Amino acid sequence: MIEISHISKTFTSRENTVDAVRDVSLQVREGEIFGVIGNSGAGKSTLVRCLNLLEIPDSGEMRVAGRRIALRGGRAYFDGSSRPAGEKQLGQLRRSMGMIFQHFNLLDRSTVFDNIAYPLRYTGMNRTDISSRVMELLRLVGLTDKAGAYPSQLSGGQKQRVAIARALAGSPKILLSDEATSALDPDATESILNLLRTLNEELGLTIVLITHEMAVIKAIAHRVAVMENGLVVEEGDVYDVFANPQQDITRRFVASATALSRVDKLLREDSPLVQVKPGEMLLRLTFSRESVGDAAISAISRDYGVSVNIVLASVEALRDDTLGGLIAVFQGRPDQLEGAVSWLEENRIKVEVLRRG
Amino acid sequence: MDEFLKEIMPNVVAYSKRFWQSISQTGEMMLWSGLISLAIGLMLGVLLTISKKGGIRQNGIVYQLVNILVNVFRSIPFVILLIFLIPFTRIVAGTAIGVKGALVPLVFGCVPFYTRQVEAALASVDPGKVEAARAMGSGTLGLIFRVYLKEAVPDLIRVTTITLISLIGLTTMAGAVGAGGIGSFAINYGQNQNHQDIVNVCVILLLVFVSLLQLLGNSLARRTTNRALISRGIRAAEEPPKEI
Repeated sequence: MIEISHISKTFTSRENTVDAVRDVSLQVREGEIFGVIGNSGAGKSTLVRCLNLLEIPDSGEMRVAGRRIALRGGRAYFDGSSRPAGEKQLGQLRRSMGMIFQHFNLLDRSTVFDNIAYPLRYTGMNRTDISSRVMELLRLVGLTDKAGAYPSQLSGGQKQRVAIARALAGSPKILLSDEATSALDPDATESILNLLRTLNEELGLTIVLITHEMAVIKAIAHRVAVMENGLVVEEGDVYDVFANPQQDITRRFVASATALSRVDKLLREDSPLVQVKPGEMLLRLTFSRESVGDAAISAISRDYGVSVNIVLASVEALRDDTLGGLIAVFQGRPDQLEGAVSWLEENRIKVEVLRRG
Repeated sequence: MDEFLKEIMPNVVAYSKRFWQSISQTGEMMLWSGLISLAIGLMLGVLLTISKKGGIRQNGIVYQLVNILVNVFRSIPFVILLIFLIPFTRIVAGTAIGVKGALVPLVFGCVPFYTRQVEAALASVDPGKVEAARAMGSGTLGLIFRVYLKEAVPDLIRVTTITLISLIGLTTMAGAVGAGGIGSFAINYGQNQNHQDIVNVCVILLLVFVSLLQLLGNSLARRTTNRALISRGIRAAEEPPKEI
């Protein structure tokens, strides 16, 4: 669907140069929700703008919307052409993708109807067709009664719905979402995420979603790429990344989205909850897809004589999957503890020793 | 009525023909120099906006050229500009005197001011809107007309009002090249002949003229801002779109 290889983009000003995107290669599959997460300044917004050539990368190659695009010296060359693409070709490529933004970017002096009709006008489409298409889109996003309203009369969530309708007006197969829920309250965030998910499932819309919130990734993404300093440092299925984060930055993002991260705070503060006496161990157990639901705790206390004192526990819902986590103090003789740990590991439960007494 | 007017402004009545002529001269100058200046200023303002760094058609040479020209002509006082431009005016307008001769300097005096005002009005358009329109495939012309100019309408109306008011000020100086108008009527027939009533009437006339312009500008600006639509009530939201 989208394949980019070795994309780089550097911004130069008199004072400094910023390598916003550095040698990034990614593949977005048809029909998936692909998340890109990173802190501000990580280059994720630039990356998504490279996908529809709002920013033309300095170098690299991409395949998108059925075109092969070579990028050299800040110009785009379509399908092996020796001449750089002009405004018209770029416009065509951009129209094949929809895009939504953090601050909605609706035209304030146009009605909801006219905002959604914007991409349809001057394309040779006649008024009746435009009008029925707009009404269809308004039904899709659930705002049929707001056609004549102005953006300033709408709530944030409603504005984003209008923006989504506008982005889908030309029936693109790909939707780019740049922090689309970051300016919304929790309820509106949830409803917009639900809408995106519905569009993905019912229309088969491929969505590339940029965010700095792991909760967003957790709720709807299939796969995720983690960006730091312009680089993609980790990439994979959301479930795998959550269950087994490799990089520090990824671990921090994962921690930010689960209740279990509170233990790190407890450890830092040396709370009485996480104190261990000799013969005790503070463990973090992660239950993945295969192990969730097994009666592991009763099994080890029964079979190994280890007593387990649970400090924190949570089950995370990841799209349609669940991922469990448990922080507990294990008490027993060294050989009992060792036996329990290896039993857990055999049963595909990830064990991390946080503290040893 | 005639008696009453004769009583309060005897000299205005005595020179009534000249008085009406001066009003029509001011009107003529305002109309033509206004139309030409607004058209050129709007174009140059757009040109500055799109060619500046980070603009949709970034072009350092074009930007600097317009920028410097605007700065140069803005820094010359209008009375000096009037006489400085006389040779050029002769070439362009065929004459350097009268209403026709005043049009060229009026345009030169007004355009730089208006260009800057337009540039400021367009700068208030949220770059996010421009980006969204680019993402929807709009080209340069689409961005100019459908986003920049359309979104900035209330601001453009405001700066146009300010510009036209300052243009009234400029036309009163055009008397220096024999273009007539209310300003020179006030000086030649009022001040120079010690007819205070003429000066007073001219002042009131200009005051009324400026106030009317301001009133018109304000009301248009208010009506085109979407805030006004809210105050008109939720009814607007419930009306079916006029498109259909």
